[in-house]
Parts: sequence; C-alpha cells; structure tokens
Amino acid sequence: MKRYLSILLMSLCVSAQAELTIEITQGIASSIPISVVPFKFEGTAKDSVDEIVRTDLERSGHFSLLEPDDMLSQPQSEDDIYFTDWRLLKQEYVVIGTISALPNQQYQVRYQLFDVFNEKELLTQSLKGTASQLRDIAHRVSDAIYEQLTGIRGAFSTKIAYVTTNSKRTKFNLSIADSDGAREKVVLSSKYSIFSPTWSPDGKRLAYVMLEDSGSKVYVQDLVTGKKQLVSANKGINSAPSFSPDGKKLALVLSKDGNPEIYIINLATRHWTRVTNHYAIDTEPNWMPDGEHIIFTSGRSGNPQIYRVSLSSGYVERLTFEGSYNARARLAQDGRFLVLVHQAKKGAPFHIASLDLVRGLLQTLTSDTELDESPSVSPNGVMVMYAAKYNKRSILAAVSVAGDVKFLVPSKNGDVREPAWGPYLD
Amino acid sequence: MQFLPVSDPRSFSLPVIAATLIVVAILVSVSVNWIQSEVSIVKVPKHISAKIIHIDKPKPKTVKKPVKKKPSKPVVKAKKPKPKVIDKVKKPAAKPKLKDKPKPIKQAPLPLPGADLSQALEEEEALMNLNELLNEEVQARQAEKDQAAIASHASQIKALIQSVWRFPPSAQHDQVVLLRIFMVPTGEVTEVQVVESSGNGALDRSAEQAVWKVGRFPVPQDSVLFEEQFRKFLIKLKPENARL
Amino acid sequence: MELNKLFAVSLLSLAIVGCASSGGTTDEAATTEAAVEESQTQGVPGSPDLDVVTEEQAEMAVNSLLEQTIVYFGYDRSEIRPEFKDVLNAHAEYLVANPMARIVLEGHCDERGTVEYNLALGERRANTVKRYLIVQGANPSQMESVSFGEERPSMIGSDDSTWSKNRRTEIKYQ
Repeated sequence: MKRYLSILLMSLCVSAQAELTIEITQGIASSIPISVVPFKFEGTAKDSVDEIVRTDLERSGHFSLLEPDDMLSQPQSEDDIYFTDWRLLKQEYVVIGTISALPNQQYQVRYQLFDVFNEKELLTQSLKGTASQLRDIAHRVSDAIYEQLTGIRGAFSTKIAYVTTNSKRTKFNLSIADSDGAREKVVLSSKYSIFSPTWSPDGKRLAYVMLEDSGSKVYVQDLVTGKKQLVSANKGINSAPSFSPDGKKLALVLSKDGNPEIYIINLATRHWTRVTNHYAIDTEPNWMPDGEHIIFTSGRSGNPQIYRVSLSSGYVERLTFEGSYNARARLAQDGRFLVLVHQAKKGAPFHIASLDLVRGLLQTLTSDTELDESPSVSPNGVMVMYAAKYNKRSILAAVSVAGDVKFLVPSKNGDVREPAWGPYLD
Repeated sequence: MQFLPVSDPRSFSLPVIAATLIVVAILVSVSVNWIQSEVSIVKVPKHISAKIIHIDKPKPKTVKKPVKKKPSKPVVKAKKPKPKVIDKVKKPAAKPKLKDKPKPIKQAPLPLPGADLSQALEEEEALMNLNELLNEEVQARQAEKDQAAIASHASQIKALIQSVWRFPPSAQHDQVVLLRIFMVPTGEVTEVQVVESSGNGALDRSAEQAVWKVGRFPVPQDSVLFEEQFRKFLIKLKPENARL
Repeated sequence: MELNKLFAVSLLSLAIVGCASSGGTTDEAATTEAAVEESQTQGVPGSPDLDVVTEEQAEMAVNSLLEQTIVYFGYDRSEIRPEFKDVLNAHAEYLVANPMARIVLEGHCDERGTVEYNLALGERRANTVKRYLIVQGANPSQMESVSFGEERPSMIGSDDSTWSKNRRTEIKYQ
C-alpha cells in the first residue's frame, strides 16, 4: 500500500513540464562587420581620425571594415542614417562623427556608435585635444568602440619598443612607437647590438641587453629621464631580463656559475637569488602574473622546450611536448595561452604558435613569414607582434591569438627586430 | 468469536478485504481529483533516445478512441480510468499477489448478469486490464509520433541556425549562451530573450542575430504539439569549433 | 750519386712524416665525409701532397695550422668535429710554448632559433673549444670565452651555405 501511494505521489510531482531545449554546437568564426563613416570635418587637422579608427579596428582581428568608397551614403548626423541601407550592406554597426575646431587651437571630436539591426545608439563620446593629440583621441575612440562591442579592453593606445639595425649590423637603435608604428622615437643608439628589450609593468622603464666586445650586459633605462643604469655585468652571459609583476625584481640569465641559469635580482637591494640548477641551457625567463612562477626555455630534454618553475618550491614542470624546438614563451589571454617560437620538426620553418594550457592544444599562428621570432603579446592578450624575415629583411608583423588576422607593421629602413609590446598606460 | 488457527488463510480474509477496500477507496478518491485536473503520466517508450532533445514526458492525448484490434469480448466502459503508473506497477507484480488473496472488490462496473460475484469480479478485472492495455498502447503510439515530430523539427531548426551563425573571434569554445525563442503558429519568431549570457557580449549578440536571420522556423502541423513545445522553447549555443 | 742521397733522405723524411701524420690520414676520411655537409672547410691538415722535408717546412705547416683560427660546428651542435683537432692541437701547443700569449674565444650561431637561446649556444661553442685546449695542456688563464650569439654573423644570407659559415668559434689572439 505504501508503495502504491508513494509511486502515485512521485508520478504526480514529475508532471511539471520542462521546456524543449535545442543545442547548437557549430558556427562560423567571423569578424564583426562595422562601418566607420568619414567624420564631418571642419578645420585643417593633419591626422584623419576616422582613418586611424578604421585601421585600428581592422587590425584587431575582431572587425571587418567597409571601405568608405563602398558605402552607399556617408551620413554625418543621426537623422541621415538609413538603417535599411546598412543592412543591405550587411553591416552590423555604424559609426559617425564630427571634428570641430575650438578656440586655442583645440579640436572637439564627437562620435556615435549605432546598432544597425536594432536601429539604436549604443555609445557616444566627446573628446577634446590639440592637433598633435588627434592621434591619441583616435586611438581612444577605437578603444571605446572595441570594448563596447567585444567586452575586451582595447590596446590601441599602447606603445611598442623595438630595435632597428642596418644590414651590416654596425648601428643599432632602440626605439619606441605607437602600437601601429607611428611617432617613432629613438631612446638609445649604439654600435653594439641591443636586444631583448622589456617593459617595466608601469611602462616607465625599459630593460635590455647590450652586446659589447667584452660580452653581454643588462641595463635598465628610465624613459622619462633617459638615464641608463648597469644592472648586471658578471663574467659570461648577462641577458634575457624580465620584470616581476610588481616591478621590483628582474629575472635574468647568467652563466657566471658555469652555464646559463636563471637568477632573480632585487633592483633595490641588488640581492641575487638562483632559480634553476641544471647543466643544460636555461634561458628566456618570463614571470607569470601571480609573481610565484616563471616560464622559461630549457634544453634539458635534448632540445629547447618550455618549462614552468615554482619559485617557492623549485619544482619544474614541462609544458611543451610537440615539436623539435619551442622557445621564448609569453602569456596571452589572461594566462590561458602561451605564444612561443615553434618548429614542428628539424628542418621545418620557425613559426609563432599558441599553446592552450587548458586544452593542451598547440596551433601554429603564422604561415606567410619564416624565421619568425620574438613574439610579444598586447596587454589585452589578443594580439601578438613578432619579427620575421620577409624579402630578405627583418620586419615586424602581428597576428591575433585566435590566428585569424595578420598584418605587417609599416617598416622603417633597415631591419626591425625584437618587438616588445608595452603595458596599459593609465 | 471463533479464532481460527494463524496458519489458516481464511483467518486473514476479512481484514484483507477491508484493507484492500480502503486502499481502493483512497486511490479512487484521490485519482478522481487528479484526473479532473487533467494530469496524466505517460511512459516514455524505451526505444526512443533523443540525444539533442531535452524533453519531459509530454502529455498524452486523453482521447477515448474506440478500440480497434481486440476481438470478441465486449468492452465494459471503464468509468474511472486509473492513473497509469498504478497499472504499470500493478500489471507485473500486483496481479499475482492479488490473485493469491481473496478477490478484492473493484470499483463501479456492474457485474455481468448471471455470474457469481468472484467470477464477475475476475472478468471485470480482466476487461479493465484489457482496456487499460489498449489505452496505453494508443497513448504510447501517439507519444512516439510526437517525439518523432519534435525531433524532426528540432533538427531542422538546429540546421538552419548552424548555417547562419557567425560567432566573433573572441568566442571561446566553452562559452555557452542560452536563448528563449517565442514563435507564432506560422513559425515566425516574435521575440528572442537571452536567458543566460555566455559572459561574452559579442557572442550573445551573434546568437540572437542568428535566430533573427533565420526569422522563421518550421513548425509541426499538430497545433497541440506546437503549443506545448514550440510556442516558446530554448536554444543553447556553444561555439565548439571556435579557436580559443 | 747526389740524386741517390737526396732520394734516400727524402724517403727517410717521408717515413718520419708518414708516422707523424698517420692520425691525419684517418682525419682525411672524416673530413671527406664532413665536407659533404659543409661546403667549405678551413684546410685539411696532413694532406697527402704535403712533402715536409725540413724543419722550416715543418714550421710552415704548423704556421698554416695556426693561421686557421675558425672552427665550425654542425647545426644546433657544440662538439668539436674531428677535422678541426689538428688546428686546435697546434693552437694548444702554441699556448703552452708561449705562456704570455692570450686568446679570446668567440662563439657564434647562425640566425635560426631565438636570439637568447643562440647567445647560450654560442657560449657553449666557445667553451668546448676552451675545454679542448685545456685538455691539450693550455693554461685556462690564457683563455677567455665570450658569446655573440647570432649578432655578429660573418656572412649575411639565409641559406645553408651562409648559415654553416656563421656557426663558429673564432680564436682571437690578443
């Protein structure tokens, strides 16, 4: 009897209905179509703000931009927008704007971002600056639009550092520029090779290696004062500097104790700590954001692979298992990915690859260039800049971690190498 | 009162009959209420496994269709059909048990004329069981058809969306967005709601737009089925082929 | 008569030289194999057509070895290859004989691979030469090693032949 009753009760409870759920698991990866209409312009400013925004968004890999020539109309106010037209062109978003001259040689830039399908304004902003600041304003517009539509912070207002040299390798310049290569400024010139530039977390200092006749030495240079400070000149190798997340320490490679190992130096106290202890080559240290682990390259398994060491326990863990050469790893996508230099097998070209630490999946990101090296990741973890051989010259190129967009950084004369993407400058 | 020895089955007869009567009375009274609120439970046919469908047991048609196949024996009108689960349980296990005991008195149906009580009850029971069996079969077949229709339309909807869904490069393979779709009987989408965001706004938007791009979905002809399953339903989108 | 004497002396010298350079014969075999990998080598010691007959000529032979100051390496390798042992032996002997002599060993790489890893590899190449010389009797205090990685190539280019000329350790007398 109990059985009948309980079963009856149970069955009655189950009678409440759940909704039909259909699962979709496949789609097509594609960038968001957006149009940035040429801004209405009053005055004689040099830089075209909307052109910079179009280039920024296109290069981010998340958007595909409609060329102004392909636009059916170029509205300059909200009332002039015919959303049907934009839908016909398969655009999902439209940006319009105006630049007006103000007294005191200032300019005001005002823009609006519209959702074409829902026909409503998503974002509007007004920014002010001098003619020379129009570039900065343009990048800030790109940052705002990018973040609004992807949820990811834009990195268009950041800087890059890199080294240029002549083909004979007799002159070297360490330079800083906007992330799109504009407004280059030389911060150090030398007859000695400069390499491995790296930014302090606050963006105010650069550490680098200078290869003098007596050997490699590590310097830290203050970007505001231009003052340069020698940090390490031990016997043997002094190289591969990497700032700790708090900016107080530098991880380095020194071979003073017999062969290249990783050490940490406290910049204030100059106190040394040794991190690795192995007869194989250990180099290219890179701090993880927790400040507790360092990723590095080691030849201890026979050829270069990526490892991670815990600073507290000294425990070393191997991270790469595919390929004959994996080196110079940098973190991307909030530490979920590594980007590195990868050679699939002996004799194969060197490319930039990404390693998904969650899925253990290694994917090659570059294919058009060869001898790819020095990958450096944007602070929002989305783009990778690297050096590559192209038409017998070394140039800078960029690829997205999602691997779908590639572009070359407009090049100066000579060979450009060793890019280092700077941090957010708040 | 004369006490029979404990081992004698007849010593239990009266209490058992009384107990069974009480049970039956309770069951009948409770089930009457429930039947009036039109809840009935359907057994899910074992051989159907709908992978892409999450569906709860649909309400079966409470249509009293005339019995087709069973021959000869006249069908006694079952005034108060019992809840099915009880039958299910009763069918394999209960009947032998009941048969061991003296015949319980069943509900309403009049005994056939000219038979003594126990034989009438037996026949009554047999007919009712038959009736129930027939109803079950009818309902099971209907449920099968419904399931097939749902599955077919669901897979069409899935195919349509997958052919137009463009997710952004920032999409990660393990992000999931849950949408609720509202349709009218012509199949046109009237509203799309984000029930659960994936955490990636661009991905959520791309999912919504995929639904609007299709705009109109195939719907089952059975309007009852449409009302139950497709008037509003959920779509779960997960870009498993995303690079990140 | 004089001709006969000359002939006898030559034969004798040849015999002496033959013994001395018996090691060179096996080196030749190795060299020929190695020559298939590398397009050029610095010069083959103990070649069969070297007719040393006087001390002067012996000295010239040693000098020619000493003039060879570059040792080459295989791709991603840092061990000394057999064809360079005679050259290094000559340098070691020189250092032993001249305790005031000082050399710097410069290690280099070709452009493939990362800049930092190549800096370390270049140091290995300089150090293996240094260790070899020490084993041959040279004093460590006479030698310094330094790595220039891929930063100071001897040739510019991106083909096997150029790369093979850049994978080297150079001996620089101070």
